[in-house]
Amino acid sequence: MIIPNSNPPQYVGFKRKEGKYFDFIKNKNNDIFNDNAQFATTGLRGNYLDVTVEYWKPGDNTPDQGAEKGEMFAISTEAQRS
Amino acid sequence: MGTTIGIEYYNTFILAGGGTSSSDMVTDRGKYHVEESRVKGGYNNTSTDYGVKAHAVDDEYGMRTRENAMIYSGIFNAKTKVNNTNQFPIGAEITKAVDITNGSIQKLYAEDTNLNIFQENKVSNALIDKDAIYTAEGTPMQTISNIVIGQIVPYLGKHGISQNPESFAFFGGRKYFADKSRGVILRLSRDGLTSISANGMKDFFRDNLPNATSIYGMYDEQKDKYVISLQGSNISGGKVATSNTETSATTDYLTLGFDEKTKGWVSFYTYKPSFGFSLENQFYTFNKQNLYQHYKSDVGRCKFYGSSFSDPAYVNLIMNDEPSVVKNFLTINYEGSTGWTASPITESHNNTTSTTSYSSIVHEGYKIHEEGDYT
Repeated sequence: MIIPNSNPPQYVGFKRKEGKYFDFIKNKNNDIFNDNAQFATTGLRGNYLDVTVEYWKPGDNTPDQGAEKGEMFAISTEAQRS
Repeated sequence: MGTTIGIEYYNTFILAGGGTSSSDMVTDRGKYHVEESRVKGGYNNTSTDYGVKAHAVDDEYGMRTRENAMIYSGIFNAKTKVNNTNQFPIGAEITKAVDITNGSIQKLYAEDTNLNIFQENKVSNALIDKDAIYTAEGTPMQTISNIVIGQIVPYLGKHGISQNPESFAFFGGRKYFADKSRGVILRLSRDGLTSISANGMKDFFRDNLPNATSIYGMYDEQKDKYVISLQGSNISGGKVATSNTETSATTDYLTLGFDEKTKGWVSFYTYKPSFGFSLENQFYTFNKQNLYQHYKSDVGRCKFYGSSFSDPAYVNLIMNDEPSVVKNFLTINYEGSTGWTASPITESHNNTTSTTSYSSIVHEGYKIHEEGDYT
């Protein structure tokens, strides 16, 4: 995902709020409003979501140092009946 | 003048020549072997003969592999230093066979007074008569008992270790092994044989066990896990880092662990062990011939076998609040440490409605920034 350079900067990714990290699920493929927005419409429609959540720091190539520990306690989604 | 008188009797043979070839017998005269059948060569002295034969003669001898039978030797007595472990007298009842219809014996595991016998299609247990071993101090074993391996009692359930004795691992009273032929992973404990692969991974093992050529089992005492590694050219799955910036799917192995506390398969691992074991609460595995200790604090997480970059840690999950309802998924959130990304997110709906249906939607990776980085 491209972070635009124009002001004001737009937030990308999980945002910390009340102890959780939130983000909107954005649909990249269908721009149903045809507004050519930088970020396409919010929401995915379906019976279920397949999600892969990954913790990886590709640039970390220091073998003798303990890497940061990635902890994942719970993950959830907010869905709206349609 | 003396004269030569021939006698009918003789008790001595003299062989001329000292060489080894037939020509030496002629040319190397002057060297002789003298063999005589009487002590000191005297007339009618005590003679030697072949003596009695020690054992009965087996006229139809020949090599035979009895893959369903066991044999045990004489005992070693530490007090008297009598070591009969090289003796396998054919006259004594020292063999014990199990049912050949259940295949060959692949693994023996002695445990207190029990001997666990793992055949390809059956697991049995035999009492080992410890009295016969512990009390035999100079007295013959037969006066106490001549049965070392007692009655063989099979465990309930038609399960065996197939041909993968390398999958065996144990901790305490629990023994774990894989049954490739029936596509399950089993635990043998006081409650008998239990299929631990049924705890959520039945399909996985049913699909992947037949493709594995080697199934290495090991017990991780530090984290209390039975770690199993399926290896073979047809195995695929998982994801490892191939460089500092690239990941790829693994091609020939899958390593995963079973946790007894949660009664489930808790995680896949990105290392490919060629074997492993636990020693004094530490977990070690081999990478080919090299030995590595796991859970060392001075090595970065997800880095195995001296790799200079770490493998990714990831969780695949399905979100489905109300299974039968088509929903709009609006947000995704998690509790944990910062640094997780979500990529990809795909949905199940497949163009069954009009404009608001999305097929093959892939969401690019999220990047995390602390609150306040972008406003």
